[in-house]
Amino acid sequence: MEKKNEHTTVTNNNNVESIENDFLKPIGKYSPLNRFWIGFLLIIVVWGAAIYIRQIYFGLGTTAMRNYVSWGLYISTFVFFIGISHSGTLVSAILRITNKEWRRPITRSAELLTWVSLLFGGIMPIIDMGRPDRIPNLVIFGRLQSPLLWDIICIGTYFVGSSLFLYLPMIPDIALCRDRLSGNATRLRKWIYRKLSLGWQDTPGNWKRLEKGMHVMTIIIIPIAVSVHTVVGYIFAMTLRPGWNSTVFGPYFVAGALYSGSAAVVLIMAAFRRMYHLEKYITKKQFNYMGQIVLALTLIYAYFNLNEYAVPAYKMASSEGFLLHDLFSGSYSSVFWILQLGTVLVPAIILAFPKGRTPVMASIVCIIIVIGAWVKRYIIVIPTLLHPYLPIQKVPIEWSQYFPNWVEWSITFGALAGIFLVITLFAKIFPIVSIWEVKEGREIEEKYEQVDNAIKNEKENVQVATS
Amino acid sequence: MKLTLKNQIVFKSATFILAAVLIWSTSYTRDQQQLDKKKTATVELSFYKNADGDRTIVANVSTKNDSGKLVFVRGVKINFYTSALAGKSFLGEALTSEGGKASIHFPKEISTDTSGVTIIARIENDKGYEDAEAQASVKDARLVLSLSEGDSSKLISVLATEILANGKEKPIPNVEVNFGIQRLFGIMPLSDEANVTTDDRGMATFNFPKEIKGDEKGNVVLVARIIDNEVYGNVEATSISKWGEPLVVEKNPFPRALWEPRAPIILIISFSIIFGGIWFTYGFVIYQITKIEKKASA
Repeated sequence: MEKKNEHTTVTNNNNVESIENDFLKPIGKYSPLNRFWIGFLLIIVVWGAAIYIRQIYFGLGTTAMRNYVSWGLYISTFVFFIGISHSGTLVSAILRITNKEWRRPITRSAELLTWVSLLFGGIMPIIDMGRPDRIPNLVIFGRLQSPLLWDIICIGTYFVGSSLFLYLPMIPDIALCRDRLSGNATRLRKWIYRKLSLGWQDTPGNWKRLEKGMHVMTIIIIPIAVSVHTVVGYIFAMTLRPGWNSTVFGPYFVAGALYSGSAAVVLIMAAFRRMYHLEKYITKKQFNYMGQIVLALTLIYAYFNLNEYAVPAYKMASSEGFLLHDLFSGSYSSVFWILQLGTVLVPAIILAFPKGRTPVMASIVCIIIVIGAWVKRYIIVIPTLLHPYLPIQKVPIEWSQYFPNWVEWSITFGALAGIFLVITLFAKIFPIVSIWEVKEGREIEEKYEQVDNAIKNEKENVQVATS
Repeated sequence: MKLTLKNQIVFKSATFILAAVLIWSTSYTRDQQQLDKKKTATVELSFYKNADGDRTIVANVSTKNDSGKLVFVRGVKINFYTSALAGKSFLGEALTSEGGKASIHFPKEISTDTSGVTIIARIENDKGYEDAEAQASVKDARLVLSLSEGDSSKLISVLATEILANGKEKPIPNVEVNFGIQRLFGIMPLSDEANVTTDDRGMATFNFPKEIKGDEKGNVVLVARIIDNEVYGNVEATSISKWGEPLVVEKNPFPRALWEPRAPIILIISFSIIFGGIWFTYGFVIYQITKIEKKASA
């Protein structure tokens, strides 16, 4: 029972009650605004799904993709979503290992973001396939030498790992929902709580199993996450094409993923802080620290950008030269420089100042970073495909240009709405903040306060005695 | 009669509209005529007789596209006729393939006389193409292959004969015969000088070159052909011999490599260790979860 006390007994019982109420209050309750938001997302998702069925029926010819640009908006979005999925690993796993106390209110949402973006990120390459019914062939006839197979295996492995990593710390909270919310919950929710809580009881044995599992997952999920985005980078780098033929692509993609993923965490923090009135828990401190992390990752990302473009630009080999001229001063130059200056340099300058890391400012900067990261993936994928080693010739002029058409936008926004919808519904079924971890944090804080007070009193006593 | 200003405007407007309608209608009619205009196609005829004696007539249909490039025509009906059948000249019909070819078998019972048989291929009453016709007069010929082997040479001889109406054969002099061997995707000439002209006896001979690969037993299919001859068309004879060098089949044609179908062992081992380790860890974590459940149910 000592173990149980360590995790659940908080000195102030009112405090415990208040924390639980704050986080359980929004569950199962749908305000008119919530209903409107869910309905709005559902319409976009259903529209996207309908257009996807249409795409399957009529073929990929209904998109703007042709022979040269066969990886268009879908694969750009795939890389972007997989990048966002690094958020959970960074915030949750790394901060757990380093035992940063301020992580406690934000780990769940970061892990959820990882899981959902991986789910939809994994769907995007399937959408890009003209014949999705042939997916089993990748497994049945897949060549282990192919980076495409590595990618499928790595993403599948990361998805299973992320599911476990999200689920494990949720078990005590689901049990709490089972015990406290069963009265007015629907039958489906009761069933979900009962099944997913695994009959959890607050016993030392259960805590021991949970901690063991979490400890292992926290360590292993970091190299898996790094490997996943490295392999996503390999899909490009192992293809002999100007702009992709680079040894730096693996770490470059990892850095880009961490940069966009950490910015996405700031956004999800800000969204739930405002929607669920969690200002008491997700404070300026979290935004300040996350802002510093985003700043560091932005600078690392800028360093990789320098490597990615400055090194080939110095040599200007003819094949790379066409692409680089197009990026630096050609048709993609405006987008390229807006991205480099507007979404890397400017955010770094803003975040360097404490006033740039307030909740509002950090959120604005992170919106810019996330949108910039998406457009950057587009800039990595499309211009290279339009600059093959063998010149484009004897094809219709439209094939040498690319801009996504309404079909691609519909399906991509459908997937994006799907991410928002799953996050919204998740937060209506489960606590979006890890309740037991926050309680544990409060307990540690109070213990520290008690120790500080004791030391302070002792010092005062000593001073009185000496005087 | 003097027109008022108002009437002048009406008159001028009506004239302008009438002129516009006339111009439009003539250009429309011209466009329509262009649309209705049938294209011109060219028909070429070939006659084939294979080693088994089966005879085929092939019509090649092509046309010039808008940029003046010659392209094959697909899906056009070709009617085949012959002059050899008294009162019944129609042989059959066939549609052209993707490559612009339409073919039918030439019946065995039709024999050629001294002046040969005339075959005709026609495009008739086609919606897209004007009527076109090709004619050819062919005589029936036969090639007989014989092989002889000396101490240091292997000789292929061929006798070319024309089959007469009475069934007798007469040698064909001065006709070019090509020597080759059958390969998977076609006939490979035995050398750059593999075309030999027959002598007065209708004979042509050719030395079989060394280092020609056969199958695992050294078998090669020798082929002698008369190609696109004006009188005899295409005639072919084949013979199987063991003159080729036996092919040594590699026991392992696909060694393990990144660019081969089979992955290198080191890649499989590395992959298995990494992912085996990860999935084993997942298994351990799932085991811990199941223990939670068991404890609860206990």
